[in-house]
Amino acid sequence: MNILIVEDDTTLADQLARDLTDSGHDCTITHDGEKGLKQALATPFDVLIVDRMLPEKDGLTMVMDLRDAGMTAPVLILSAMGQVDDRVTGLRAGGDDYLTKPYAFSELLARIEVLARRNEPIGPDTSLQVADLVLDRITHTARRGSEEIKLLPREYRLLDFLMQNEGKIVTRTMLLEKVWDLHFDPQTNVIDVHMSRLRAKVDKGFGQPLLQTVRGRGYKIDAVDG
Amino acid sequence: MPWMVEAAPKKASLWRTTAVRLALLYAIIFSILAIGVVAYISASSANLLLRETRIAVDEDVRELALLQRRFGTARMIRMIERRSRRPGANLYHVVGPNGRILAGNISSIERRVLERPGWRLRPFRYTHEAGRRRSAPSAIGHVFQLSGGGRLLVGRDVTSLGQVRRNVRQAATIALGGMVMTVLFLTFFLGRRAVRRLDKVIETTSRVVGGDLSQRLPITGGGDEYDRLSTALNHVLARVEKLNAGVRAVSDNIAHDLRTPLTRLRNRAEALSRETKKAKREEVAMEIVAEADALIATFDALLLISQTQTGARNVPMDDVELRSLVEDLHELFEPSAEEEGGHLSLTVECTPTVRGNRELLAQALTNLLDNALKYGHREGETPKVTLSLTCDETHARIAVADRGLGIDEADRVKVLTRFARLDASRSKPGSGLGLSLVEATAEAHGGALHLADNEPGLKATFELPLSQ
Repeated sequence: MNILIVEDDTTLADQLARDLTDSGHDCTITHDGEKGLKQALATPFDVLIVDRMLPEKDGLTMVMDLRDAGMTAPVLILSAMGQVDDRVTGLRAGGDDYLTKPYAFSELLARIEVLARRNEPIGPDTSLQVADLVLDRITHTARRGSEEIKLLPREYRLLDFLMQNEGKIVTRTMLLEKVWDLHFDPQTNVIDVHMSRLRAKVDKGFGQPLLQTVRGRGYKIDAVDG
Repeated sequence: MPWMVEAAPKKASLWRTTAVRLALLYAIIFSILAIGVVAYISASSANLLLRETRIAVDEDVRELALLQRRFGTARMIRMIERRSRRPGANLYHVVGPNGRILAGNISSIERRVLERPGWRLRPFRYTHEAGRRRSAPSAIGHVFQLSGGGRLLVGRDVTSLGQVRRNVRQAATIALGGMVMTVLFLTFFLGRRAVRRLDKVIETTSRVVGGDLSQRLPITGGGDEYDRLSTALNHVLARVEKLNAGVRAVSDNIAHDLRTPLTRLRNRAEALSRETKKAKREEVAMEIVAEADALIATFDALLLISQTQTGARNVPMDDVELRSLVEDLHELFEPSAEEEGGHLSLTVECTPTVRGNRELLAQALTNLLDNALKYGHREGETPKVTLSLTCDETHARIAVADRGLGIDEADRVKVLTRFARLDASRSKPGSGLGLSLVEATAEAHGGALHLADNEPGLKATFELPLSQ
């Protein structure tokens, strides 16, 4: 992916760019809001990572200007201070996701990969499929092969989110956000328990396991093992 | 905490205080008024005497004129002769039609005085027969046209009137001057007192700014405005001292509680640098990540607590449906309880709406549920936790009750302090911030956190005021 990093802290920006490059992405770095805006308008990026506090033009204004210019590339806003209303104001300004520093790189990576997918021009799928697992998004039912899987409403939403991001890692915090609409790190294993129940329904008794735990990072659903 | 140290305020000079400036202004106005009063008193007392003089003179003239008309000029002259010999007599002067002096106690007089009848109020010169010649014009008098020609003057020396005026003026000036001096003295004294008390206030605040928060302003007990001001400022100081003590306790706690994980983190990183086996390296690296995550979580919780505690203003509030929140959380945690072989039951008795921040409330309740599931059961038993939502007219109450060991009454206050952990070895996981975060959240919503005995176990009740 082509990623623009707008971050005034050069050490942080370089570290982030190095980590992202290691993960196979191309990065461009700018250090202030004005240059970031120019760069973003000049080159098409798949994802923008924008720090909230920037010289020349703060991050939120920059994102608003971008949106006014009709730029739809997904934006992840970074903020140093986790004010209670930061996330809401960040998203209102036109950001697509919000992350508070200090963040785990794996969390950031998972989020931008999911964000980039969101921008792919695809119509609303009425069904999702991973290997022989099919999720019917109209009737909210799942089947594996010919066998129907009974899902609770929350389990349906979990599976739907995972399948929309097939092959991509989603973190526990992301699941809590998307499925429960709770925006904090629960610091407990609640999500793991839900995932293991879902796994029991989706994978148990079938040959190929689809739901995978990625140690230290989160979960993904993938037809390819590993 | 960095103090905002501004240039220490200079001690107020007495002449620059409001009290003294006001006093001087009063003194000036008072002096002007006093001068007016003196002028008025002296003038009016002189006028009073003048009027009485005129009445007496008029009386005299009338009597003498009557005497002359009835009994003739000679009789009148005899009467004048007699009257002019009395001590303190009026001035008398009778001239015939030819201008010859017929009688009286004046030997010469300004010519203009007798030219026509009537009052001569402009003082004129005269010479008394006793030889007392007045150099200054000093007499006033009434000139009367005698029947058969000739004129009668009855007058009065008014030198004494001027004297009276001067005396009155002098007395009034002394009295009023004394009053002005008194005003000046009093205001000076009061002003100096005020300045001294202000100096004490400034001195104390300087010491407070210097870091000594135990300083308090002196209170005289007189209940005046200075006492009221000092009392109010002392309240402020007490509050600041308490907050500061809280901050200090927290920084002590941070120093203490973060040192251990930081040391672990450092040691693991060191171990990582020595480790050669790839699999082991990865394991240690994951441990480091977990340790750092725990540290970050602790910092986040601290930040959130202080943010919440600094006031509800900082927290964006919306209408929150507590029923759906509680049901969501029950749904979120129930599998965890079952995983442990336990049970999380839910009782919902009402559908209240409160003014609040859904994320903060959810996080607080998550803390309570997590605590109950982690610690709320005895060794060898499975967690049985009840989550309930009840209401009365004013409040909604969300209670999380477990069947564990509970918290001794004596410890219930202690667990609400930051970093407090009843497990002295601190071996169980947790930052010790959970309950203080819950309490801070309750308070930011105008509610409270109550801890009670669930007989057995702990019942934590999160109380929130209902929206109107």
